[in-house]
This record gives sequence, structure tokens and C-alpha cells, in this order.
Amino acid sequence: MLRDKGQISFDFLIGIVVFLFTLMFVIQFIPGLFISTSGEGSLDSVAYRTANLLVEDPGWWENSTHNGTNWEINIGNISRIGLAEDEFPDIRRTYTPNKLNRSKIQQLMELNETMIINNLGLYDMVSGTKINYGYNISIDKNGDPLIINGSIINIGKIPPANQDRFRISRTVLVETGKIAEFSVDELSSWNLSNESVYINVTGPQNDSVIIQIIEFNFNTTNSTFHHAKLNGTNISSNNYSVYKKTNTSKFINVSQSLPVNITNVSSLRFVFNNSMFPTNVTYWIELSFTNFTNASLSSAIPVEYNNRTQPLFEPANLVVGVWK
Amino acid sequence: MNETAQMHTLEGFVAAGVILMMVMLISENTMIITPQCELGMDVQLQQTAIDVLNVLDIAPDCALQFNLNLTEHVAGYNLSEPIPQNNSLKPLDTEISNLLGDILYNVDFVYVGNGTITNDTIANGTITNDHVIMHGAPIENSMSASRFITLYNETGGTWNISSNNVQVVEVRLIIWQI
Repeated sequence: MLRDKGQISFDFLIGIVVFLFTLMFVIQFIPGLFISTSGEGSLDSVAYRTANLLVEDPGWWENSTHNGTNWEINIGNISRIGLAEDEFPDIRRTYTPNKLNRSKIQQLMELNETMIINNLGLYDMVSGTKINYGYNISIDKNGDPLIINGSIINIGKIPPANQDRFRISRTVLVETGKIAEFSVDELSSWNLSNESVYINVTGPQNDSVIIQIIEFNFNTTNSTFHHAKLNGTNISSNNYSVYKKTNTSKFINVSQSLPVNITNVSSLRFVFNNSMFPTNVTYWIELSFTNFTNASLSSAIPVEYNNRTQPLFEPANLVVGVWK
Repeated sequence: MNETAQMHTLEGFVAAGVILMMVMLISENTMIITPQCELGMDVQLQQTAIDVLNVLDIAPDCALQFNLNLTEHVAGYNLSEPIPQNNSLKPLDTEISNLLGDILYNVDFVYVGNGTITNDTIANGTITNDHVIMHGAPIENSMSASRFITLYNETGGTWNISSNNVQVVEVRLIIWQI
């Protein structure tokens, strides 16, 4: 029996086999445990760079004689794509990074994939062969996709669910439409007894007509907004919405609960459907209130919407996702 | 037959199976954060802080809840009010929380002197750091961003700035995610 010593035991053999199988199993089934991170890391910087270009750069175009940052109207000669608003297209820099220009966003959605990939550098050269990355650029507001002029801002492919994706989100201001802001004192009324104010809108309008009335200071408890009329006819509730805001709240939609109490309201915002202003004539909007008598309404000349429009910017998130 | 010190084969296999199942269960229900990913999150957090200060500073009329830019928020800060959670900075607090969502943050105002700049008392070297908005103690992976605001005599509000001086205030936003 002494000769049996020093030989491999059958139990040990089974044991080591079970151990090795377990080890291989663990290595295979825990994702990322033994994966080297050095090769994958580069796409984080690609996502960062792309978001930076879009948010902080107005873009650039040039041909043999002219150049500028307004590439959105010179798409044949684009050298760089950027979405930042730029007051002075002749110089290369912008003074307003993080403020995204609406026509640039809309033009970016029109560009074909090759142009976007080349101008934003969304590819890699592997031994002379160009390999395009998958990409997705979207803008969302409070978690919902942002809609400009009826279309959702989402460029690129749908991100694959089962693949590592590198994304970066940037807080930006996006130009979503036009707005005209009036203080209560500026508004006019033809007839104080029916407590209506009048605003002229000249068509045609391509965007929603947004009117904001500020500096309410009514202390009476029963001041209300009743309804809106266009050229003397009641506007259907499908064609406009009303938002109210107090000193401490954000704008809330109160279209479903008209007439709405406007005591302690600091601003009212009206959004009218642009299809109500189709032709080149002047339409008049009438806004009817009750207990509006505290307001010092000025003349009988209605204020003009078109003279007072300015771009409406809203906070949103631009999200860039890149994958291989 | 000597049965001591032998492996109980069947129990051994069962035990190995149980251990494997546990390891798989844990590994599939846990997000494994590799260091690479953490670096990306830090960059994202820092960028968000920079963006928020930038957006607050450049926001035009009607864009945000209050029609105030960063300079106006800072100018409206009442130095004599107890800090932190200053009443005069409620609008700034609301705007930042609107933009950041569920990210936590603190805001510091850092400036030279004690808020009173006249010809005689220019910067005697002291730097004041007011913790004006506090939502907790920043954790280890917090990020910060700064933006400099210049106040003049006309914009000064409760800041006591003489007509031929300016006061530069660093608005420091510290943010972290739990």
C-alpha cells in the first residue's frame, strides 16, 4: 500500500475539473469583469466632442469667395456643423454658446447621413477603411421629446438596446417659436364696459401665435379670463390654449377650466394655432375678462403682435449618443 | 472499508451549483461600474454645472420662470439676511432646481471684501465665501463650476458699491448625484 502514495487522487482530479469549469463559467457570464477598458474608451470623447461642437459652435461654410457661420443657408459648402445662435455670421466665434438656433436645427434634420457623419467626425479610420459610428442626436424637454414646427427633434438611428452606448447630455436654450410680450398697461380696449382687450395679428403666420401678458396686479378676488374671439367669433378650444403663472409657480395649462380665475396671477400666456391666420390680412384677437376694471387700459388702438415678436427660447437637453 | 475523509461527491456538486447560481444572480442584478464609466459621469456632471450657469446668465425674456439673469439674481442678494437658504435668492434656487432636476447642488458666492466697496476700503485682502444655497453636504464625487459676475453701482442692489468701483462675484455651483 505504500506505493499508492504520491499519486494523483481521483477525487482531486474531479475537484480540479469542477473548479476549472466554474472559473470559465464565471469569466464568461459576468460581463465586463475581464474586459479591457482601453479600447472602448474612445467613444466617450467622441460623444463629448460632438455635443460640444453642436452646442458651442455656430458652424462654418466657405467657398472660394465667401464664408460665414450661416451654413444653414449654404449647405453646398459646409465645413463644420454647429447649432449655436450667432448674431454676427461673418466672424468665426459666437457670443451665445448654449443658445440653439431654430433654423440650424431644422436644417440639420434635412441633411443626409453622409454629410452629418463627415462634418461631425462620427467615424474612425481603421487601416485605411472608414468605419462609421452609430449616432443619435435628440433634444428633449422635461423628459419629453421637443417638437419644433410639428416635428420631433431626433436625428440618427435608434440606439441598439444590447450594445454599449456613450451618451452626453447638455443643458441648452432652444428657440422653439416666436412670442410677443405685452404688459397690461399697454393693452387697449374699444369698450371698457365689456372688458375685452384687442390685439392685431397680421397673417400669414407659420408658427403658433404666442402672446404673453405680464404685470397683472389685480387684488379683486373674482377677476377672470373668459374666452378669446377672432374677428368677433368665439375661437374653438382646440385652436388655442391658455397658461397662467403666479409669482411662485411655473406656467400651468388652464385651457380645460375656462373661465379661469386670474387673481394673483403674474402672467398669462396664450398660444393660438397658426392655421387661423392663413392670409395676408390683419386679424383681431379679442380677449374677454371680467372685473378687469382695475387695469388702466390705454388707447383704443389695438397693439400689433407682429411688431413685438421676439424669439422664444426654452430650456431643454441636447443628448448625443454614439456607438460602434 | 475506510470511509473517513472522503469527498461527498453529490453534495459537492449541489453546493457548487448553488454558489454558481448566487454569483450569476448577483452579477445580473448589479450594475458593474467600471472606472471608465465613472470618468464619463464626472465629465457629464461638470458639464451640466457649467451649462446651467451659462444658461442662467444668457437666458432672454420669457425663457425661464423668472425674468432675471444671473447678474440680477446676484444683485438682489441681501447681504444682511441670515444665510444659507436666503429668502432673496429663492428665485435663483427655483431656477437651478428647474434646470437640474434631481441632481443636488449648493451655491456659494465668493467675493473680495465684505460687500462694501468704497474708495477707502478696497479689498483689504479678505475673501468672503457665502454659502447662500445649501441642499446638503457634497459627496466625494461632487463637481463644481464657476461664473464671474460684475456688479456696478447701478446694478448693486443691497451691495454697497461706490460709483467708480466694481465688485466681482464668483458664483460657484457645486453639484453631485446620489
